[in-house]
Amino acid sequence: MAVHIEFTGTPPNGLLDRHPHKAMSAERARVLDAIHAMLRRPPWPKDVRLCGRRLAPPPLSHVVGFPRLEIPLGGDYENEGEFEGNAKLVSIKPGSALFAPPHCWNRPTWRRPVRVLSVLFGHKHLGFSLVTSAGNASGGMTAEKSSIAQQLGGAMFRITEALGDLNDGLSPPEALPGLVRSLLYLVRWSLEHPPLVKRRSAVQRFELISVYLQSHYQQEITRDRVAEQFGISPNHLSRLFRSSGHMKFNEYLTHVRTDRAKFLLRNYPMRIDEISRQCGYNDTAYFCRVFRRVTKCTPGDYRRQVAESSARDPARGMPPVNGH
Amino acid sequence: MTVVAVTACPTGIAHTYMAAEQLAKAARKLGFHIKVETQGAMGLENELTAQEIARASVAILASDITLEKAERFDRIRTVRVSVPDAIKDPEGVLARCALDTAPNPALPHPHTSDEQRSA
Repeated sequence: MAVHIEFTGTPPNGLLDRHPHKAMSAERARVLDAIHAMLRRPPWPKDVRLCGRRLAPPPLSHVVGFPRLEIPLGGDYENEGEFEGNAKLVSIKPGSALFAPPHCWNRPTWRRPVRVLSVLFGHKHLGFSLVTSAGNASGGMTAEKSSIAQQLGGAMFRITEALGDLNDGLSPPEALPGLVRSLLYLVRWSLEHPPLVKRRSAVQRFELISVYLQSHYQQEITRDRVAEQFGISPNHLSRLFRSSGHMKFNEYLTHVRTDRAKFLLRNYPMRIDEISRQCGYNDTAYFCRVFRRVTKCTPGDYRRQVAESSARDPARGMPPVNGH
Repeated sequence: MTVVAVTACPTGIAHTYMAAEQLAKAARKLGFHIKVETQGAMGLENELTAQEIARASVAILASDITLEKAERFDRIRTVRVSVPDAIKDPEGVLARCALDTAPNPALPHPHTSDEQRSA
């Protein structure tokens, strides 16, 4: 049987830590090598160029809504950008770094040979692009892209926010390199532990989908439609339920709907066909069959049993607040 | 009008995301319904499903490199532009979607019979 490590409830403890490179792509391994090489240099980075956002950027400058860290690995990373409040042309060499907070701009000229690693701190992913440019405009450029799942929040994002806060023209530039080094340590850690990060995001997605089902059970819901809503494949959705939850997707949906039906049966004198529709079943006979399979009695029997037990013991018959 | 789009630039650092944002912004302004997939350094994000592509009238392929999963667009009319074009003139690109009614040569024209096509 196939084992989906990223979604298993308990990771094989220690195994992932001992073999961090096992399932790693060649691209990701090269990114990790570059990061290791930088962090081996004791005072890396010796300085950090921080981009600004006050001046209007020239056409086709890089301006995006997420933070970016750019690390020259060789050659000369020549950039036009807003630094210390002025538009300048700077050359960033290995040993230094460039950090662009959200909506801040820079524009690589690609006029000189350079090898540079860009790290993109997105909402859902950490992105990496290893760019090698021959330094001429005639297409002598290659880029190797890779990414890992990453949740917004946590120390990594607070460091990128802190770096943005230091961009006020008043803070000492000496505060920057230590933060950037810490940031790169966290990036390296995420690269070395992607299955754990991914597993967490799978659990969060599962929870989001569960909440979605709990609030949309009245509508016509299919596995395909929910999968599309959340941008995943129908098979992935099924896998998510098998591994994160205690029941299959359809079982969970049935559970949500029959639970709601029980609540309505207990508390409202509605007709069975009305309750059936309210719970997302257009076919009352089908609803009754499903209800009977799940609760081992018909909707009418269920209502009578609850009424009888509350007549015997009024306290137990009080309508529960949450419908359970 | 419903449009799908993909953006992809060589480095995947910024222009991919800027083009996506510009297309989305221009679509809102012009009253188009749009979903934009980005193929940048963060991987395939906001990925277009087969259903979404089938439902759209046209696909904008704003790319300066080979697209991933390009075969998804074999059966839909496409408008191909460079990433800088999509950043600098997103409204112009969308206007082309509305005007440019030339059919995709890869698709058999609905009003052309088999004899005419093979001729």
